[in-house]
Amino acid sequence: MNTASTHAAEHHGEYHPGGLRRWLTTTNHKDIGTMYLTFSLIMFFVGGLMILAVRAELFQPGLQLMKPEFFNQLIGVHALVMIFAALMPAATGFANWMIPLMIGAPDMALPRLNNWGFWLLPPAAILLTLPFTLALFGIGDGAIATGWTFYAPLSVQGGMGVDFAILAVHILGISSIMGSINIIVTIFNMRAPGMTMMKLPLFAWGWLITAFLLIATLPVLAGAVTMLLTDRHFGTHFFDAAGGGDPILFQHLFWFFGHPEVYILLLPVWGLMPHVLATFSRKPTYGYTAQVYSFIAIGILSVVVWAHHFFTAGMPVPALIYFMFSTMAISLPLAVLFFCWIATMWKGAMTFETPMLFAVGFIVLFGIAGLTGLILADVAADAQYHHSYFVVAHFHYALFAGGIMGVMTGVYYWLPKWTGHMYNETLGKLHFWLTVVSFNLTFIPQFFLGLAGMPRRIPDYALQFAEFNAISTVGAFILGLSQLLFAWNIWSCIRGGPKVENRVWEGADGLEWELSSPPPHHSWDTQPQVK
Amino acid sequence: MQTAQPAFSAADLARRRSASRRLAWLLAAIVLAIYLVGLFIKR
Repeated sequence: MNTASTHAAEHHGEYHPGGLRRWLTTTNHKDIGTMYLTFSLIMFFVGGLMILAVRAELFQPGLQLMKPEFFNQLIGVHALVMIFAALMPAATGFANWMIPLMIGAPDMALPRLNNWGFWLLPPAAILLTLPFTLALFGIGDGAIATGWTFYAPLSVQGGMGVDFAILAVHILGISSIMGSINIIVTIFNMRAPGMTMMKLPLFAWGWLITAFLLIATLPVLAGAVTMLLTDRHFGTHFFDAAGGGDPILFQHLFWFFGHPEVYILLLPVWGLMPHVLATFSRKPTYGYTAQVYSFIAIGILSVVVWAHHFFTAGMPVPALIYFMFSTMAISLPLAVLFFCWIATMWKGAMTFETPMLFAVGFIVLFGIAGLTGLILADVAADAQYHHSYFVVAHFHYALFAGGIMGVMTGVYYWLPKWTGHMYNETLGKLHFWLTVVSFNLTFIPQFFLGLAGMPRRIPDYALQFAEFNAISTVGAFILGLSQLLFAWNIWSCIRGGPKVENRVWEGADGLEWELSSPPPHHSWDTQPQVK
Repeated sequence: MQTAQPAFSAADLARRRSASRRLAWLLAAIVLAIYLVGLFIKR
């Protein structure tokens, strides 16, 4: 720890409340980042347990463990929990922890808003999962059973769980918007002198585009689910064809949010990858400017391609062609990112510590998501593959391999900086290999199931799909259990372990590595000067 | 990459936070506008 940082930590340390009060009232970006990440990890296991119950049901054909209604609820809430309560808070946790450190800011620009943004999350998570508990006591008919998409008219006719989910999504949306506003204003106004926008770390760039996407699209989702609420309880007919409404309108509104949401989940990870790849390749990031413009291009394109999610719902041929080609156009800036990532590693002095393993695994597996996405973007091919397990496999390659493995990359990369201790490298590598092998064991069979015609969201299936489903379930349970290694490694690292230097990794570059490990409670009391 | 300099002065920090609050309210107004426009969408 350098002298100035030590002094700052000691000087401010005496004013901090302890215990629960510290966490309830904190406005410190590192405390709030820790709370986001802890919440995310807990909800990751909650969402994971739900889907393990689903996979257990699908282990064999026939109904084994649960009624179809409960099966539908588990699938919908799994998706909502994983997207809104696990992945998004993880990315926000990273942003809270790292953006002020990376840009030389003493804290987020609006610390109280930051605290409020986090503390909206737990009530929303309770709202999402409470209907399961209420149903046990005979109250209501369980959680939302429409899938995460809330498609009308099913959601107009659904039970009380839909209302809980609508309210939860409103609260989660407000929380995300608060976080996004804070991140935008922090990046614009709190950068250290000399940190121009084109010197901004790529992680901050990725989050900046993410934050603008959230601000542009979350109000549309909020508007859509508010209209759904009024259709359900106040006699409107926005989405009710019998009353002159249009259920397809809901699909347009939902996916105007839903497709950018994919990039909202992925852009922070894409911003993180160049840091990790450059660190463990011991080379500067290749193509910084190209990556920045690719982020911007992907951000813009992501809001004009939404209807590829429902090609088969019916739309004019020119619209089909437009949405097909605009969707495929996203592969161009994405390909630029892939080439930059690979070029960063090219001829580098590479070593394969756990974060690098996860980063390379991310590139390979997320590449599969991109390639299968191109197949689904084709209108003709999509007519066959939509609503099949091919889609399920595709988006898990995008959101697990691309999103969650990206988050794991970030955790292993920054955990020593956050805690001051090195995690168990052997356990980290074991976690990586178990995760990669079991992930593929789970989802490669689902590609074949989809190609063979197995529809998604069904608790029972024809005998011909039995073998692949059994393999997928075995893979899912290994995948789930191997995540306990991740949790244990984090816990052990927080509790202790070998001390690390300020610059944890030999090849790491950036302001964040100038601070002590762990950083002092008040970051950058001594202002950095970026050259 | 960096050399130690005096910390953000109180005045500088106040100016930055004030600019942040103004931009935050503008962004919040945009969010509210998008939300309200959504409620008036007709098929």
